[in-house]
Amino acid sequence: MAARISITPGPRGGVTVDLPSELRSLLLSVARQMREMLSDESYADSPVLARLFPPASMDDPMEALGFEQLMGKAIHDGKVESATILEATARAEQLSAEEALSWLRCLNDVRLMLGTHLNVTEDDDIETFLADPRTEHNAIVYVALTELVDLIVRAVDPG
Amino acid sequence: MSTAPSVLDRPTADTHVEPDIPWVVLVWNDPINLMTYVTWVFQKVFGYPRDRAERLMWDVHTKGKAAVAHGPKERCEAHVAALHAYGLWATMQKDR
Repeated sequence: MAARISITPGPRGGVTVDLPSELRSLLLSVARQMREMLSDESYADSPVLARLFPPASMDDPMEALGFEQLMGKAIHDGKVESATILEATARAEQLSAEEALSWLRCLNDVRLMLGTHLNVTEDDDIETFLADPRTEHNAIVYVALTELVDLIVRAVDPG
Repeated sequence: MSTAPSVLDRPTADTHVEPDIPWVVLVWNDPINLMTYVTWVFQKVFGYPRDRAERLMWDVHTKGKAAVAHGPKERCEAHVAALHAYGLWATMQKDR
């Protein structure tokens, strides 16, 4: 029988989380990796990490630079904070609304990094990545986080 | 020193301040963000009702991009920052 995976609306806008222990260990692991990557300057030029900080202008590098100088640190610090909160609450059964938001932001960022690394495109079938031993591990994590993000979105009221 | 009445400096090209041109925030399609997630982010960031957020999400998905907000530059910068915080691929440009 498959392990139970359930995320449902909880008290005061939060969510109730019922996940198998192995999945919680995975969340702990990806949150820690994300926090460490964001804090490690050697990853600053990584194309995978770059997807998390897209330029704010398509055709004006000066506008993009101005935006980065104005907003870049706050966006970066917000992502570090989300990863830190996910790491601290990965084994929690009840999440506040703010903690659930941090889970969503961080797990979606991890999906963006994995998807960029796998080179997911509209036409790609994730089955292809699952069947290839070189990409199987990342694809399994990607699929698991896709399901989790979808469940959290359905449980958290955007209002 | 001249005793003539003072005259305000005429604006030159160098000091010309651009009139308050509205800006637009665009969100671009990407193959990773989930449709349910993008809809939810539009509701969360802009306070749009679900049906409007869904229409914008479908525009992004089918047309490659959608204009999701308009306004002064400072407000658009805040919107783009909020969308980047949620991992959406958002840009801004002058709306003209």
